[in-house]
Amino acid sequence: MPSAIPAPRAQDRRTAWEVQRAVIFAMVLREMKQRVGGQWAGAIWTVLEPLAHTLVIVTILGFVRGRMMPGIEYPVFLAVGLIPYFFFQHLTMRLMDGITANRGVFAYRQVKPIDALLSRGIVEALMNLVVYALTLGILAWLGFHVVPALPLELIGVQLLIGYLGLSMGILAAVVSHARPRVRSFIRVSFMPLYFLSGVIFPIHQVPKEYLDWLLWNPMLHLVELSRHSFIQQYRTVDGVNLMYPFGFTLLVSALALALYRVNRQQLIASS
Amino acid sequence: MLELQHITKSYPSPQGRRYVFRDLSFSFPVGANVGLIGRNGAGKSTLLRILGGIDMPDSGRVHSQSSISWPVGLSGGFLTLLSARENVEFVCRVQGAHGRDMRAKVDFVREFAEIGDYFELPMKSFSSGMRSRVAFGLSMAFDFDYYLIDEVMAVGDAEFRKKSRDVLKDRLKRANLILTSHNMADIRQYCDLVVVVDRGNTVLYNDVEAGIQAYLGTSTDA
Repeated sequence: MPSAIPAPRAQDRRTAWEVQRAVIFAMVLREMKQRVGGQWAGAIWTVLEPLAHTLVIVTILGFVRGRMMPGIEYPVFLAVGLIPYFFFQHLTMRLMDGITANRGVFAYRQVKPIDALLSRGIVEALMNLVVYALTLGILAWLGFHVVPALPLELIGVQLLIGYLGLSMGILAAVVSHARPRVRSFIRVSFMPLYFLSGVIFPIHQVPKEYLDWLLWNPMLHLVELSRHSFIQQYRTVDGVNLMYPFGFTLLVSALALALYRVNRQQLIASS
Repeated sequence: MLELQHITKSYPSPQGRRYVFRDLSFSFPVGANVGLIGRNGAGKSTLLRILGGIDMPDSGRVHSQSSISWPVGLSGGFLTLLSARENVEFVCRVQGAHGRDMRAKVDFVREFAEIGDYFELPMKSFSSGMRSRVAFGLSMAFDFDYYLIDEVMAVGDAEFRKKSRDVLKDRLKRANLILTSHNMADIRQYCDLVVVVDRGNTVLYNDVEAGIQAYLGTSTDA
């Protein structure tokens, strides 16, 4: 609304986009400093977790499984399924606490809960990139083949995983804000999801009648597709496709953003 | 100009919706330092939060072309794992102060807070007094048209309090103050007029003493 009175200091008034950019940038820096500067142990663990995980499982199962998939190196098979899965899991978990952990900062009117969530998502994605590169680097150093067969498909699938994790994280943050006890339930439900997403075992071995049920899990599709785009010889199970997880992700993100919009006042108010 | 237009604000509670304000319209007089007084729970802090853009009303809006501060002396936004410098830089970035502007503000806060090398250390090692010094300095590092103050006047030792008062007085040459307090001495010292907030209504008193008398008359806890 135009005002007849000349606005004081209008000359340094920023556009909405400039404010948005400044806030996201500031929040990303803040998150990174907190992750890295505060607790070195935590940051190192984030990077080493998938690697340690891969090594442990390879040591236990490697010899058994190795013979079951001719032409496929089990450690690579494991790593390229594990890392995308952890990316999803970490995104959801970190975002879930994202609003509560940043409560005080919403007193600066420019900062909204969604900024805190997006910034956490960006930091998580950057860390995942480092983890991915480092794990592959070490596998390459050990003499495995770590060049993705279909790099563009791989990037596409990782972006979709990121978007799904972001949406699930926003949803979890909004839903659990008024009911913090939901959080332990969500944390616990990641345990079965880990096994149901075919992270450590090839899903081919599951009988057909169970497989149809397993295919309701979008992360199974995305883990399988991540592998397929990395290892050429790896054939995905019948029924795995991109459309289902894509549709699922769109639905979840619409739901998450709608619930965020409806609850945006309460998310700040209880600070 | 700062104007509330048809503000309604309520909170859900187990006993149904609690209305803090219903269709409240109010215009803050230009160029005046305003004291908001009222009982606990009368809605002063809610009003301040709405003015500060932290809380949104259910309906209605705040109409203003002026810049309005965050609550002065607020330290809840600090991350205790980060140093005071990093926290100050964060706020500078959010507020749009870059480069030389940011350095100037950081230097100002550092000098103002007088906490020496602690400025570079994680704030978890700070006493509450040190935290308040940084927080107050940070608020004063920015030029706003309105400074919002929610009951924070007495932080630090006598010397620091005097310094705080002086710098605030200096800012008030070009800006105005909206202050909530239960301490009538603060109200008398800083405010040109008084708004008594009571049960969702606001009454403006151009004479500070008259306002205080009206408040004390209606109040039971003063």
